Amino acid sequence: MTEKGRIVKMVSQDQEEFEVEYGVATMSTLIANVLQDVSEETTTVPIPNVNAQVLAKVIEYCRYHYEAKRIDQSEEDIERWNKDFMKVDNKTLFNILIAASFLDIADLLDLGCKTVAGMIKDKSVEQIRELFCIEGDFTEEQEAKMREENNWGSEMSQENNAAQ
Amino acid sequence: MLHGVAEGSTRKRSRVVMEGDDGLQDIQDDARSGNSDRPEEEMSVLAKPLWSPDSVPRMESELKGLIEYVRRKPQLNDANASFMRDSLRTMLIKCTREAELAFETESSIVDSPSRSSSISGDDSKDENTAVEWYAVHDILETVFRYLSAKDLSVARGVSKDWNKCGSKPSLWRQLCLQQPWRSLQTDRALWNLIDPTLDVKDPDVWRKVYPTLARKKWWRCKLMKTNKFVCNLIVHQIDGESLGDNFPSTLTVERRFALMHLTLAMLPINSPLLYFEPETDEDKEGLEGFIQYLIRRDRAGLAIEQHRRYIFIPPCDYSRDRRYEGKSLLGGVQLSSAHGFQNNI
Repeated sequence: MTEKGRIVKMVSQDQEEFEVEYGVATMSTLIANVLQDVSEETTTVPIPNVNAQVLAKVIEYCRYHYEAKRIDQSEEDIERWNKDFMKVDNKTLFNILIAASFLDIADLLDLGCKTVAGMIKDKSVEQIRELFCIEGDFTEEQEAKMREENNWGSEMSQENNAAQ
Repeated sequence: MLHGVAEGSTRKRSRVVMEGDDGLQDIQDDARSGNSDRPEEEMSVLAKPLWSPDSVPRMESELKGLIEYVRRKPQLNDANASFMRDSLRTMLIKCTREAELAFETESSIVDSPSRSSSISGDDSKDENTAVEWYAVHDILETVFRYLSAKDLSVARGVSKDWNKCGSKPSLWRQLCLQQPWRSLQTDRALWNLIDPTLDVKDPDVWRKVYPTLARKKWWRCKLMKTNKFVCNLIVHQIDGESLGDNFPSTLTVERRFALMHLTLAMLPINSPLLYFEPETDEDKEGLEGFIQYLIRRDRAGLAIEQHRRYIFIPPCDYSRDRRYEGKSLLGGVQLSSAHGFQNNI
């Protein structure tokens, strides 16, 4: 099976078609598995739960990283690109995560999760709720218990990293 | 799409979909090399949970079901993977079909004229829709893997959902092991040494022990026996008066003395107590050998530094007096000004 020049047609939930080079498309483990024994020049793969806007973003990611690997792009360049790529609104970021999880693109999922973790870091409960529009659903009692349980976090010093 | 998932799983949950029937048929047909009678409970893996047809969890559960099925049938290892590919394709096609069906059903329920609204175009109405993390627990868990214990504790307080996800033992276990307390995985007696009130069978034990671990100091240290390298150690201070920030980067055991001399009178109950663990797997053998060496001779090892004496204690009566019943190495520390034992070696 020649992989060069092979095109995979990915069809988004809203029926938009994306023509993608085989090497780019198969960065998704799910698609790689689906395509494994298909030999036609062009194969159509429905991606039933990712809309066009998000799928375009995901393909952009795959395409960049496919190329970056091919031309041996430097780590710093890739990192900078990744950082820029993640500059999206929360909802898009969240949808990219779901798509990456569904399509099984481990690096993208990791990148997205790290980005979200970075957003949570050093924030208070209230700030996180605001950031992700989450309503606290604990009772007052539970809330107080949680606070007490987590009290150690604030009192803890830098002792953790005592190693040289 | 996000909305599709969220709305779907709340509104349409009543529409019970016994999924997996077609898929199951495929699998059985292709797996006929083995015994094709699937026990009931295996089917239920594919049939539950009852997510709405066009949701990520639903797809995920189907995929998991397939993988689980394959794992349970070792005889499939000899067959080729075509049936797996087939069921994946069926799965994708089926999902598309069911998704469309679901949209139609939904449109007719809410009497919405345009189908596109349920696909992606409903942003206009509700820009700040809550991120529906409950739909994607595994993603949230991956996010949590990148948090420090402090941030994870805060995250647990966000909502019931986050609390559930952020309390997963695997997350806290990872944090404890990074602390680094790798020996907690293998040395049961160590738990008792750290906190005798903990119940090791409690699934939340890793989360509960974490604050205690975080307060304890640790250092990296190279262990030498006369001039020979033994292994690299992680040294934890378990108990007793604080040793401050400094700990020698190398400890050289130059003398030994009989274990019978090692008593609470010599190293009182409030004296600093150390626990040694190998830094990496490569150091295990060295440490194990050193412990055996001390046991065989019924001796404790001694390393002398300017103002302190470090005593290496293999399992013995003294270590049991200090609440440790395990097989690893403890350390005692004496300040030289206060020492009261003779150099009887």
